[in-house]
Amino acid sequence: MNPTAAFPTALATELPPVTQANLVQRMKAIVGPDNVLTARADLTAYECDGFTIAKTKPNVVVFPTSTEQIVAIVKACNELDVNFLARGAGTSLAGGCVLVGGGVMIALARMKRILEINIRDRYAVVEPGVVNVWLTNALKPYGFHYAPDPSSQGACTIGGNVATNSGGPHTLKYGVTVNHILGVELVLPDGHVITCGGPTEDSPGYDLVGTIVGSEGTFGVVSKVWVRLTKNPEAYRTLLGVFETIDDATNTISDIIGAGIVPAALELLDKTMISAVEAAFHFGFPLDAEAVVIMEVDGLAAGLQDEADRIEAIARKNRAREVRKAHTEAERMALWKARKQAFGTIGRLGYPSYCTQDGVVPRTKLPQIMRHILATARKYNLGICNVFHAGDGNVHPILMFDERDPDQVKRVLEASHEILAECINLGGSVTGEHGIGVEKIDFMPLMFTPDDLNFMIRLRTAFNPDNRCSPGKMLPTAGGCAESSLNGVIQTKPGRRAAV
Amino acid sequence: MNPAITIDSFGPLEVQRPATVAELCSLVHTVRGERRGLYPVGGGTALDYGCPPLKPGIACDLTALHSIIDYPARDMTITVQAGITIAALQAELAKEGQWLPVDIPAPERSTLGGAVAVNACGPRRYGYGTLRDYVIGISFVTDDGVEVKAGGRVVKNVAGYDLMKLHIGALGTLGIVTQLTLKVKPKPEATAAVIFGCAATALAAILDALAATTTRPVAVEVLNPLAAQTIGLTTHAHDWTIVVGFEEKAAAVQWQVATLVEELRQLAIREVLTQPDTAILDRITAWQQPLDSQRLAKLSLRPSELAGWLTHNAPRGLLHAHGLNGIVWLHDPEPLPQEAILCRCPPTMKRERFVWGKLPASWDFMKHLKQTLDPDNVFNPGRLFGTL
Repeated sequence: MNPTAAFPTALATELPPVTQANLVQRMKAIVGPDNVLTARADLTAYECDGFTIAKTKPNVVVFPTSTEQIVAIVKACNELDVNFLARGAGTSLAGGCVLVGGGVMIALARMKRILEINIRDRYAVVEPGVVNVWLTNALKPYGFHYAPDPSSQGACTIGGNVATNSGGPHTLKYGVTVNHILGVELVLPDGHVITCGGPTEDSPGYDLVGTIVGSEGTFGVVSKVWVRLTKNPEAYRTLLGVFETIDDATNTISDIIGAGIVPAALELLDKTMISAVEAAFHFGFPLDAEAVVIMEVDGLAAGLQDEADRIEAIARKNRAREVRKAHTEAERMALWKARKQAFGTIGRLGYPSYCTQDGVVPRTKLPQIMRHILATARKYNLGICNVFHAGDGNVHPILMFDERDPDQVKRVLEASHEILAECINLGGSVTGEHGIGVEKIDFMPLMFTPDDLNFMIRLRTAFNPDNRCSPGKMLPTAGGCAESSLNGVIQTKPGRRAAV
Repeated sequence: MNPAITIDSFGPLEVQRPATVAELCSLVHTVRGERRGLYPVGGGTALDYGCPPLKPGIACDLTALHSIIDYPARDMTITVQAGITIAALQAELAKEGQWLPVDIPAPERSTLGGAVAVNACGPRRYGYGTLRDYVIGISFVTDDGVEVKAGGRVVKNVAGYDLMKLHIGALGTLGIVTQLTLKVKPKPEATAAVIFGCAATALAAILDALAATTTRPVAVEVLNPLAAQTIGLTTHAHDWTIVVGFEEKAAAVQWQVATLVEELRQLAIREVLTQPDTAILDRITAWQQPLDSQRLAKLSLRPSELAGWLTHNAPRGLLHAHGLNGIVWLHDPEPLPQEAILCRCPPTMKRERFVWGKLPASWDFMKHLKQTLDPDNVFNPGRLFGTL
């Protein structure tokens, strides 16, 4: 297979001039001229997301401010036979925000109100453009938070989290986005609006909410979200294990889980990642260690120290050189800042671009997959660093390269392919939290049979019969997406930064 | 030869018990070809849940598909065939000190597939969530008579659509679930229950306080006097009995019991029973299989509305509620609240009243989904939508 041929690139479908003019006019009539972008330079900002290898300019970007406006946009798209896609903050790392083939980009950034916070019934209602961390900040006075905390939480939106079923460092104990979504309002691709779920539990019939979460925007446009609120832990114990080998670090993780401890987070940073983070934050990470693991337990204060002590003992049994402790909340926050902003420091390693992979293996297979990842990077002569959700078995090898060099791009894609194939081989998945998007469509037939995929297409048909909404995502179509792509990859500016 | 069964007086239905998934696939093929219906049966504990069957067909006994496929205990996941009983599943997990923390009534008979079909759960849902939080992989036979899968065996996975959620609570109307992979948990080191009575006038304040407690209960149950008496509690002289469960590390359980007792003292609750286990939660779960009551109904409210509803609207009959989830179970309620789901009742009642009570706003879309994924209406026809 030639992996590079699979991705859509710069050429959007040129609409006939009459249609384009008509489309722009219709959109301006719905949302007002100030909420429509059409200039080529403006559209460039919306041609891709954090996965910079796939790019397509939309024909127009619109910024609705209400469900009614989304409905009108969607209906106009149907009348004019134009595709559309909802976009949050564009932090997807799998090309989830690429409008394959062009069309109308429905940017939800201006639907950013927190509509209700109800502590007694433990839910909040938000518009899809609300940034993840805004909600948690708004909840601070109440002692509650919104549990899913992807590392991009300072930028990514709740609507985008719903689309991709986002994870984050604390999913190990608290679960992923779908475990915290109680209801959604969805504008179907034909413009009908359905409300699914809500603040009361156990309504009869299908769990449409659970089915819509993670559907990568292919079922419609989510216009309102009911989220569950989680009480803040009473106490934390946050440890940093320092290891001479990656194997010692991954064995520690496997042993902690195996001992029946459910930590709040277990995050691994390898030597290269440590050097970048250290250069940026001067946190005091040991530069000669092969790996550090952030190990956090939380909950009630009673008994928590015992649990932290057990974790420390397991780390030491696995030859941890040192186990540091965050003694104050400031120290803990500094550690998490280093972790969550790790991606922003990759630029210090001297490569113009990077590609973050997102494989999952059973947690006991972490030592094997890490050995495979490092060997693969060596084989393809690529820079590599690792920072990932080790407790979930969710690896994020970051392959570093120069995207101006087609040969390097090709090697990155081939190395990614090998790593993900090994994840499948070890009983895992090709994506734990970033989604399939356009990036991993070619892997779907490796994980699923034609019958599996056919049923998923039938499900999509129930929501999105014309595949007008978020086309070219998640499921391979007959002929693949090669029809909308060029051979090779166009040369572009260095990749944008995004975090996981 | 298996005996025939009736569902809601519909039948008798011939029973088939496929020994392999291949046999099940071929049965689906045959039944669809004959334009009949296929009625999945697990332990048979919830067969009267739902609307009556709509068309003649075959009852498909799934209990032969009960193998444990893979249990990598250190990964805290297990893959089993859907016909396994809950008791067998929990016994296997217990060997490794683990469990599925979802309350499922009649565990010796109930199957995991059946529990998924009806989305079974009980008191512990407040602390642990429901089956949707534990099922991470699924295989099922579609109307085309092929087995398909979604999800996987890893705890975090967003490849493809979440067909696990689609089947949980679907009452077997979208396919026959054959295999499930679950995320499981370590068994808690210690458990305890705190039980006390309260006056009707204090109920709202008590539930507000429990919602805001510094402890972290896994269950908060509200029992009326008949329920308290039935379960053998001496608190039945009070208007309401509250049962609070804790399951955690030993030190945390001990601290929580002491702390809650102190919090209750602030609310003038001084008579408090404590039990060194949470077996009472299992006994409450068992009430979902009432042997005596003719009618069992379930009502969903916002948690904040519960105390008001219980105070002003509670019907006669044994009643208990998941106090902080807003769910009320009503046994032979008189009168029957209009909005309640009628979980079981004599079949004749189902002709007069749609069992689902208040329908969700997306009900018509759900019908459309059923028609798209099972156009010939093979799977449990009639049982979810009545007419479909």
